[in-house]
Amino acid sequence: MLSIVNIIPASLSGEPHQDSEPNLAVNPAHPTHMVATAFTPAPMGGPNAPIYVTTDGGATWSLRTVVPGNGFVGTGDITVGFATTGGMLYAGILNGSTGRMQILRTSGFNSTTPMTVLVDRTSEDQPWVVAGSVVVSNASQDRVFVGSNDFAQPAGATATIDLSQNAATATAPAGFAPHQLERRATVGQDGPPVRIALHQPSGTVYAAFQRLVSGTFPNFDTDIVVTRDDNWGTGANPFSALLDSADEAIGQRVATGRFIRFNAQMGQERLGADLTIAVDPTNVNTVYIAWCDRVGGAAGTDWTLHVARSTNRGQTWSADLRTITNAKNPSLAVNTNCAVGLIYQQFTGTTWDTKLEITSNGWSSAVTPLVLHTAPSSVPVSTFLPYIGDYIRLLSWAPTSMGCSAATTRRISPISRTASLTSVRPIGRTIGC
Amino acid sequence: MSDALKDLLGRSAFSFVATIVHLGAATMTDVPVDNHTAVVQVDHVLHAPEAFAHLENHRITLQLAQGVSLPAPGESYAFFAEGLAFGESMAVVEIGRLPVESVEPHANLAMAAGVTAGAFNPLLHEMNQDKLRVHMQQADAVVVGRVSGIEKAGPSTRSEHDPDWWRATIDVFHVERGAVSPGPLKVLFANSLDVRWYQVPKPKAAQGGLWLLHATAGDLNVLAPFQLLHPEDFQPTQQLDELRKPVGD
Repeated sequence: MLSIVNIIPASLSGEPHQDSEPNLAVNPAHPTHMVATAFTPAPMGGPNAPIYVTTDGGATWSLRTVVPGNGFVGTGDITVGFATTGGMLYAGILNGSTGRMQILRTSGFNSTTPMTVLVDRTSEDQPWVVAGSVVVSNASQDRVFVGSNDFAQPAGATATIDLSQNAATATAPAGFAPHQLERRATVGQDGPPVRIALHQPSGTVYAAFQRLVSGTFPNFDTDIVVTRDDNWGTGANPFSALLDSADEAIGQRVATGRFIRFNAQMGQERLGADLTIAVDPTNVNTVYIAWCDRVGGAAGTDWTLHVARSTNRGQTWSADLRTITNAKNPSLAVNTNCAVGLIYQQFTGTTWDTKLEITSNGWSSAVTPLVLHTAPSSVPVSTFLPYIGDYIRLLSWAPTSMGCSAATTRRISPISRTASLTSVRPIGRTIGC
Repeated sequence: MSDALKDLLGRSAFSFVATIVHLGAATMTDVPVDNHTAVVQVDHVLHAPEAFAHLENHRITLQLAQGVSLPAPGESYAFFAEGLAFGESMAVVEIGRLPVESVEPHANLAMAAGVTAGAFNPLLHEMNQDKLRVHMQQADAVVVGRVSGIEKAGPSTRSEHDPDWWRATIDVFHVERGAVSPGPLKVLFANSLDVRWYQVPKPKAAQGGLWLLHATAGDLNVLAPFQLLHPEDFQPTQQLDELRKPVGD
């Protein structure tokens, strides 16, 4: 069963905000506990932006104004993740008031106490949080990874990951420190997205980023690069385990020379930063990646989503398993039955359709997308960018079934300009390989 | 009283007259409850964002301030609050409170004028004007002029949050303050509609008005001596006389 829930609480019904760029976290220890985020301003103003919380598996939601920095649209970029055990919630944000990148935590996701600031730095973009936990000497430690595009990194190698080996209790910065993922030359920086896939049992962590190889703004040739660490990033030189099979530099290039025109428009939305990676929780060797580029090059008009797979820990990659034209915001998840879920948002010319595909054989047989919702693309008129967001998130958590959840922005009434966030609750069917 | 009221209004987005119904209780199932958590009946909304202007006769949760006397059930006050949690109901946290009698004149005037949740509209307008006056005093230059040209200024960076700097030429015909002479003046502005920049004023051809300008620094200074940074950096010319008044006047 698939149920779609409008997560705008009853007391805020009819709120008119754009609510772009949603993100989602599920507490693995209590999967009925979830947190969603978006560009939603605090309903009554004040210094803190809101998060959405649920304690009943997504049936009902409420807001907590606990994120430091409440700007015109609430917080800036925000992603969230729960530790595997213990219930600690972590967030990476661009502060809505200062624009600075901050890493936050709270032990009570449902609390009304503002989250604690662990890291506060300038000149960064798109912090992306993934958290896990491991038992060391009979004590649980939270291992937390925050990808970002850190413009303070030298030599234009800006794809970066902050990591902490024990983030739950220590005072700021709680062990967090940045590490460069990019090891090659760039045109001066990498692209905005850095995405992370954690294989909890083994401590293997994959990170993917978008290397800008050549070109001038807004037209770039890019490489899609995957790096890997085999022990939670604990070594002196983390994320250096995967060498490219061609140039032997750190970081395997999954695709090379892919054309991107940053800030090109599709409907009322901008383009440029689409990337996702997921690892099979039952087989650390199997990794899926998806990204978008313009197949037609500079003269093209498309924005094409590609999905590829590696079965040898990121060393070699398949040809496209799936391509989808004029789609963005891919997000992948793999469940413990090795079923793969892909969510994305596709522009039809008149609508934005949010679709979910689930495959148990890597798209070797055709998959009929589940259309989660369809919304007109021209209304409401965009008040800012991103219109629907630079990312969304798909998660799996159920041990025996494909438990998928996603938060997406939905515009339900072109007349009233009503905007609503929706979440997709678990799909209660067993899908295996 | 006016200063105390202004202080409370400056720190709260929501004020209302309410009666304590229960202590140690809440209207939401999943907010923490202690002896300072109260269920209150909203008797009258004094000021609020539009979405909360019609809460009269609703029960909400009020987290009472620590360190002040705990009101008893049945007692009424004018509470000043900010939002805490919003679900099937809502919870707010007390910033301060005043005796009901002290806000009655404001509420009565608004009711007589048929204004909902507008008890403090005149005070809030004054406070907003004062904020604007302070902002004007902090600006490096304040001029009246008309836009005579717009052009792209410098290369863009490779971020979706790139400001997309453009340069306006403003024909200045009055200098209110700052080291500026009448005549053409180059002013940078972020033309990006990105979430970080979309509220920065974006001058249009022939647009005339009052411009509050901020000195550029570093690389931006090469592009132009001034920039627009804040949503309030453009004002109608008619505001000039008002903004010349001293703060608090």
